[in-house]
Amino acid sequence: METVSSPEEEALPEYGLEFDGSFRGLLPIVLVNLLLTIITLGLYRFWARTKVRKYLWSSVRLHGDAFEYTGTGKELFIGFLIVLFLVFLPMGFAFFQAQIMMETPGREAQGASLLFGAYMLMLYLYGVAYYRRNRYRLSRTRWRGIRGKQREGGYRYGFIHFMLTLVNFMLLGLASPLISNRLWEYESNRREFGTGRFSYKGRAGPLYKPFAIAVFLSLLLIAATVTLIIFVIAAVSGGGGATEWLQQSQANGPKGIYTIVAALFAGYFLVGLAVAAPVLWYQVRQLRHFWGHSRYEGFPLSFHGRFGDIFRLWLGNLGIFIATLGLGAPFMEMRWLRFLVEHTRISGFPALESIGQAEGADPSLGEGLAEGFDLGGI
Amino acid sequence: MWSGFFFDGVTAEAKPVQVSLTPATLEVSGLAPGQPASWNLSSLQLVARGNARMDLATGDHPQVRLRVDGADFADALKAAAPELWRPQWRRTGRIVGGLLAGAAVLVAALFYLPRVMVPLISASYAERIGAGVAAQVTTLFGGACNMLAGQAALEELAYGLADEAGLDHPIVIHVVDSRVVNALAAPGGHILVFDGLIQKANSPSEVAGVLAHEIGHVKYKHSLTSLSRSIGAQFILTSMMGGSFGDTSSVLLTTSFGRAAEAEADETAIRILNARGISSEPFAQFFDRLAKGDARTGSDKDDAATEQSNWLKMGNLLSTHPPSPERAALVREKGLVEGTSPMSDSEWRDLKAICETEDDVF
Repeated sequence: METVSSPEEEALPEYGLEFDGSFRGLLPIVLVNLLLTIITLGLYRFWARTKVRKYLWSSVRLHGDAFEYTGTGKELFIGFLIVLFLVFLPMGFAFFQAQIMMETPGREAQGASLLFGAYMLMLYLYGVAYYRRNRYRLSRTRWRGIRGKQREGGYRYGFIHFMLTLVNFMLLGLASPLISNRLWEYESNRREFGTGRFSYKGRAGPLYKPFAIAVFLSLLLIAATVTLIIFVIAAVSGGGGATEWLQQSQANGPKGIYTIVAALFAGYFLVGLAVAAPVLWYQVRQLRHFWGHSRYEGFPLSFHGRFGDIFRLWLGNLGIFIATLGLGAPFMEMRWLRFLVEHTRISGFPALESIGQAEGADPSLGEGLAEGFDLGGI
Repeated sequence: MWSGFFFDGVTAEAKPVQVSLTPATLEVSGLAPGQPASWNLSSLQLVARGNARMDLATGDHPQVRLRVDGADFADALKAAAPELWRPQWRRTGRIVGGLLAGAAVLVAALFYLPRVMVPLISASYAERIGAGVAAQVTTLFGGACNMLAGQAALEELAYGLADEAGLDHPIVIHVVDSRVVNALAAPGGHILVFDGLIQKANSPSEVAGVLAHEIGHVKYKHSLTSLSRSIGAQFILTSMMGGSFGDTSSVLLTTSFGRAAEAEADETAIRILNARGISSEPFAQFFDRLAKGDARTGSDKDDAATEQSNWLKMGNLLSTHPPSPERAALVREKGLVEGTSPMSDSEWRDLKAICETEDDVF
């Protein structure tokens, strides 16, 4: 094994991750999971997800050695139950109570404030959930017996995420690159693998040009798609325009209503399709920026995915989603993981004997909140 | 003998080792003293299987890992420890069985939940829940009707019936401007009567019968029971399937209170009607007509009615109060055949006209 002792040396060799997972390898796991999840009315999903993760993690290799997922279904299930009773049950009651108060004369304002407070709390918890999910997953990831670690419990991250999101809302989303950069920085600088530390020193500035281009292109493509839809409607309705077409369809009874619903759905789909390209283009630029300014123990990381790669990935996943009605989600996750893994590289590598085992205890639970927010993913 | 690498779990350094198999153990040679040289096959865990290499762990030493190279090692290990390759059906069976048992306990708890919950809910809180539900249903179905004369006639009738029922709290009557033929009891004494029902009724006694039935539901707090059961069911379903919590107000429209509850309400209704000297026969006939289906959403075939009926069938009296021959028989057996009209002709005309204005009074 070739190791380089210091990141300052010139012409560092590049190392990449390998991925050897396959559709055929994952299929039996997904089929059994599906069956057991149906039998248990959905409760098996925590164990199902664990099995998929074990397969996906073990498909990633670095220096020939596989990664390992050591989480269990029981941990996910118990974490979920705790959050269900301690967070989501009281929250559900608060929303119910707010609804009633808002219908009670004289207490509308109180009800509205309760509802507002509950939504704000949800927004805060969303950030916490995201951080804790990643923290749990990293702590359950091992390579050569060494495990990952995310410092802090996520409450501070949740607060920063909350404040920045409010600011971004007031700025109509214009602060998005700044905020994702800040959040990535916060998370990266608290990420470790073994005793080795990740670090991030990137600025949001270089993200603004691609961001502006992506926003401009999105607006342009939305306008073009909407114009196209209007022309199609005009052609279908014999030159009458949208209002006339709506009236004609409504006059047709239920059949006409279905036509309108189908057309609306098709319209949304077309607009989504049009916006996908600039959004994905920006996403891949952002990934390159984020990983390109990240280091592990001082050794620079980089991301080499291109727009063509991510667009093909997205189209394929869309196809899988439609063909399997969403049941093929694990395959979509596998394709995402493969995309991320195969395009990430590190220049040089710390001496392996210098990477010690992560210190401190593992978080015992972690993804309950994320499950509640449907942040689950794989 | 196969060659491989040992990882001690202290650093990421790979230590080259030689690996051999005995019937019960996997032997690792080339280790420092104190490192685990003999691994029980029964404690082995497969971490990953790659091309001509395997990654192994042992339950006895959770931190250490072993990578063995050589395509034939997998075959040798498979022969020595075939259970490593077998799917763990027994373990999976235990998990699935436990989950199913847990789900059964939850469903049972759900059934008993209202018995615990309902007595704990104070009358004033129930009143507020009912007001909220009434407001939401009214908005959903096209607003409130409040022609004063009609409202007065309906309230006079309803309050009189409620007095006979011996309720410990007042009732509130709402009229909903909708062609749907329905009436429902929300928690806390809130009763909603849809204009479709008033228009479909042939006599004041029919309206009195329906009101008396809903007052029966109010007396036994069926609505609170149903609401807490539905919310509980929603909560449990959400936790099972994942997803977000939904709107609870429409629950009352779609769930029936159950056969026993309907019988209770019917009995109360007959008792009240008898005490007021009102005939139950029109009430029975009303259910007969519902069963035949001619009263579904009004006989008018104008566009608005058909459009509404297409998706509002769920709000139909038929779906929430399943008519049955036994119920009609009970009403006929215990109720008065002849009786006095509970309303004057002018009051009846006012009631029929309760929705005949667009200017809602707030």
